[in-house]
Amino acid sequence: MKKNGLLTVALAALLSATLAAAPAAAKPSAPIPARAGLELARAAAAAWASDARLVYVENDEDVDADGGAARWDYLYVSSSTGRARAWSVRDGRIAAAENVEMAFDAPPLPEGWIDSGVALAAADREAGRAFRKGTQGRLSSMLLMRGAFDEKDPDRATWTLVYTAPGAPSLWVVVDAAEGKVRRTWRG
Amino acid sequence: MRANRLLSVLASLAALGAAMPAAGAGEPTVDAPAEVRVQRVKPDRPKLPMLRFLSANRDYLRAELDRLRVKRVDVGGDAAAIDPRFLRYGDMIAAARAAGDSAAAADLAREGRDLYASVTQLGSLEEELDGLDRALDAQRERLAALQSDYAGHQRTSLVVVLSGWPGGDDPGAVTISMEDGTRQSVSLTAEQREALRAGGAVQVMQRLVEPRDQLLAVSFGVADAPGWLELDPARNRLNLLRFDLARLAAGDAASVAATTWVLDDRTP
Repeated sequence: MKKNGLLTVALAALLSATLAAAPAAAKPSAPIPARAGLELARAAAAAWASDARLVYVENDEDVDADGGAARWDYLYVSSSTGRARAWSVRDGRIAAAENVEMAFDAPPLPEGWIDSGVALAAADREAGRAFRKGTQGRLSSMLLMRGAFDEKDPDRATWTLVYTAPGAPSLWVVVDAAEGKVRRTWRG
Repeated sequence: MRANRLLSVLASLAALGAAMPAAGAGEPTVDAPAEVRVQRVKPDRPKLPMLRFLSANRDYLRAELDRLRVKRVDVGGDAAAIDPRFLRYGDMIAAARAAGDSAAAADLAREGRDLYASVTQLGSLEEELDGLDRALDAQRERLAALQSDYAGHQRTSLVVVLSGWPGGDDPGAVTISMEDGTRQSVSLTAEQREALRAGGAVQVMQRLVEPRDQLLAVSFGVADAPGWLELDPARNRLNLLRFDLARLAAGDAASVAATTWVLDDRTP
């Protein structure tokens, strides 16, 4: 009887030790807003090039209802070297980095852009929520850049949200990244 | 009896499991240097897909950006009247210079005065000194604000240190290649060689590095095949990487022993 008790204790100890040593990779990554990874990406970019400027941000995992994604990509360019490099931030660490060989002459993003959650709330209010409800669609991409999508004032930085649905044209919503107002929507 | 043996095995396994380090516990700290394995074959590291939307839509985005480019337009090139405000800028600069001259003249006059002629003048001097103190205080505040702003400035950096001396060939130079494509090569000077032969250590490079798990290639001498090592430098810290050349074999960078640790720069 006593042996059985000791056996149970030993088994429990073995199980707990095994669980403690289990790799953390199985744990799903927590969604974060786009700005949460910015500081880390900026630190990496500063090590890469002293004149590195952020030109583009994109989600690389699904965006949740609060505008968070488990992984965000940050693209920087260096005008002195003419090169571009991107860093992907997940779980408070840089999960990937790569040199971007394609030519991409986007102007630098200004400081103070609104976070992904604010942009998503604005886009949802304007058109996104209705689109999702009517088509069973979802938000597939969020990207932040300057110089595109806003014909009237291309110099402004904008968040562009792309909602997709099976068998229906996608919904594009452009949100001003400074004021948080929707500037354009279209289907296509 | 059999239960006893099983119990003993399970207890040993449990003790072993408890002694196993948790994920990441093998990382170097200020108090515990960690060995780094230098490999002959480049490790195969999984690559995460990045910038998927940009890659899929790059032509469209490029076309959007092209619309921002400067285009030639036909407009008249006739001269126009100069804005009078621009003309006034010259006067303003002249007035500013004149004010500077007046201040300089006042300085000269003050220098020429006999400052100790009367108690009144001494009082005036004291007031001036108080003013300077106030100016210095204000300057200190500005410097403190600047220091505060830059305190968060990243400085994840890597210092490469060599120690030991191989019995055979002179290593000549050390070359470190980073994942971003940058490559830094340093030739050993006569003094550095002498220091290594005498059992010392020499710092051969220091640079900023990305604060992430990354792959480095190292080679010694121009013809050597590189050795590969994985390094995860601590963020916002000075990370040291030491290569012990004592076991360096010609043509085999992977034969060196490597150690990494984090410099303890905490304020005591």
